Amino acid sequence: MKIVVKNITTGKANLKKQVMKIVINKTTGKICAMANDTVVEILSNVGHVSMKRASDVEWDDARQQWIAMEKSSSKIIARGHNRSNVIAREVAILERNLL
Amino acid sequence: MSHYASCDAKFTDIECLVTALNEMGLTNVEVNEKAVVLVDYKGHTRPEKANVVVRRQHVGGAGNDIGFNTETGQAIISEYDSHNSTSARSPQAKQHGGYNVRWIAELKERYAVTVITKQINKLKAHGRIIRVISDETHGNNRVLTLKV
Repeated sequence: MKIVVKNITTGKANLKKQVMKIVINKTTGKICAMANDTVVEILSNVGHVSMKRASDVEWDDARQQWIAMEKSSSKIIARGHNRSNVIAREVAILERNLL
Repeated sequence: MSHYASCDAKFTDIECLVTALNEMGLTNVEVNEKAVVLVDYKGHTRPEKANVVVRRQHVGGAGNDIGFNTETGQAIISEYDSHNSTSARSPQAKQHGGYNVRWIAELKERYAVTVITKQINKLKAHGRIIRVISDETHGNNRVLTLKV
């Protein structure tokens, strides 16, 4: 079964453009980025890629919404009813931490 | 849930390595299909082998050959050259105090950007919509922003 998500106002398929950052530390030469398939595809040609869990996204049963929690601090960094939006917001926040 | 991806550059792409070395002021780079022996400042052979080589006369002063093994992605730099900056041919080696970890870090930075650009062009050639919208320096970091 093929599922096509369409924009309800335009009726066009939702092909959302994504902006991502690749950060290279000039002192160590180490590269980091928020993981996604494109980043892995690109970085695997540069060298050995490692992954580290940055956050957890869980359903807050009491508040009836999604919460994104930073793994290192256990701090809630995003919350909301739409899971995709919560994930987009947490990625933007975590990406700023790379700098 | 998200993950941080990290990567340590390995010098395995010969074309990109030569570009990065040229950017670092080392324009006489020897590329060999098979690894060859490296030579020390006296002209004696060293135990290490490499297939991308900057010969000692182009390293500067009483330098030894600098080599790169593109099978392992490792740089081979003598202890002497990692501390000697006075006669180094690479301006970045003069700046960093030799062909040391700082110099390798800058080479890795330039190499990584070259490989990333090459990979993006490959993806574009396969019909993918991807481009670098900015290349900026923020403090100690070089930040490439990509639009996919």
